[in-house]
Amino acid sequence: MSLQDFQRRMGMPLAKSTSPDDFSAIRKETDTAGADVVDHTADLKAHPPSMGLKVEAYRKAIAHGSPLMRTTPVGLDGKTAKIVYKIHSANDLPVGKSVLVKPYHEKLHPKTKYWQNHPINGWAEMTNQSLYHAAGMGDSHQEVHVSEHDMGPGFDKHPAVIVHMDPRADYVEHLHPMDFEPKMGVEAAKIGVMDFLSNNLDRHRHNLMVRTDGATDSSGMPYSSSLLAIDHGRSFQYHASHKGVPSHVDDFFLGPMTIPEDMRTTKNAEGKTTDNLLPYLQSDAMQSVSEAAQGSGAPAVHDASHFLRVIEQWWPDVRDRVISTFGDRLNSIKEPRMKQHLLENFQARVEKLDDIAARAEWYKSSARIHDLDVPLKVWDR
Amino acid sequence: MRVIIHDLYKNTQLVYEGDPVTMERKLYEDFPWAVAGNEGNLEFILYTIDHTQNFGVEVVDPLPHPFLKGP
Repeated sequence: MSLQDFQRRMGMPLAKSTSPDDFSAIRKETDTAGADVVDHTADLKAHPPSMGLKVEAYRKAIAHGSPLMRTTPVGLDGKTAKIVYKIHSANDLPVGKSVLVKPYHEKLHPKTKYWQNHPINGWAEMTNQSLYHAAGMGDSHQEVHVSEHDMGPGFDKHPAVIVHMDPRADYVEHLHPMDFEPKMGVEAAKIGVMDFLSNNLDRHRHNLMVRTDGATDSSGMPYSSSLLAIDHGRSFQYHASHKGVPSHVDDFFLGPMTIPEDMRTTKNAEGKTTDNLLPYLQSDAMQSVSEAAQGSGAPAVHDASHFLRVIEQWWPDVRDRVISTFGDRLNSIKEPRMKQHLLENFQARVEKLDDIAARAEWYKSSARIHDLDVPLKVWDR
Repeated sequence: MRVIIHDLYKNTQLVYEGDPVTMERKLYEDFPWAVAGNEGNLEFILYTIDHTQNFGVEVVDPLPHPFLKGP
């Protein structure tokens, strides 16, 4: 066992805070085409101002100004493209807090090409965070920032996404009806709408977390229960629909309906021409929230009267900021065709939300599933 | 074979042991989103789990082909 492995096993700080060797998996999982599509430099400052001190402290640590302790299990060295560092000293960051480092330009797997076609992972993560803040729901998004790292020759100032892990969070599948609060139903609907806006097909039950009562912040003040959305690197692809992913949907009027087998896959032709809001409110994670909600007598997230009311009351107030923020974010996209692809699809979804907000009463009384359709404009790279 | 799935967020681990078919069934209970649509392709199921934010997959004692199919 090397000294470095020994130190990691024993939980001791390394002499250097980070080492280029730490990033071997990230180097291996980097898509070199990503830098031709996205300019990451704006993302170095794209985190919300409230994260300023944390970002500064992290950058000081990786520049060897203060110690970090790598806690990623030794068996994962070189395999998984993620690293976890624990904040070892109380110099600048709270003791015991962890950060997770993941690739900014992550390579796409050929088998997932039918729904992930564009190398924009880091941009997508940061854009989601910006949009959540623009939409007045920044607390529902995990804290992320982008920093450059020395990852070895050819990767000496290479960007990575840093996730500031929230130790109070647990997976939403553990949400008990006793811990459910009505405001969580509102948060869930907003997260579902943001998933619709960003074509996030990855909202499985390990990508939504809950912070429950009893947890306290650094000053000992209790937090109320709230949802925390994580892992948005696979959004903004606009390459596959969410249509058909659930086997059953609740039509507003017709009640539970079975979706035909051939409509359930995102690989079919239908899934390449239109998308629909409803499945985003019925994703795996949303089902967990709905179960807890219904267990406490509250409506399910996909209950039409619930989510239409949320959109009606919230979207008009935030849509201008959301649009403006998205426009700013597009400036980091270097490839003109990619920028056009993002703009067209985002705009179509904004228009659908505008229509729902403007005609909420009609949607509540008369809409059918297909009225929640939006065009999906796929660009095969 | 033996697979350890590290939950990097919660700093815990889940250990799966046995033949690939049994393992896939157990994985479906814990990670249905990774198995659905990838049935019979254990390697890709593990890839899918590994490439989500919070998890790292460590294959300790892999069985050779044809039990592990490529993606």
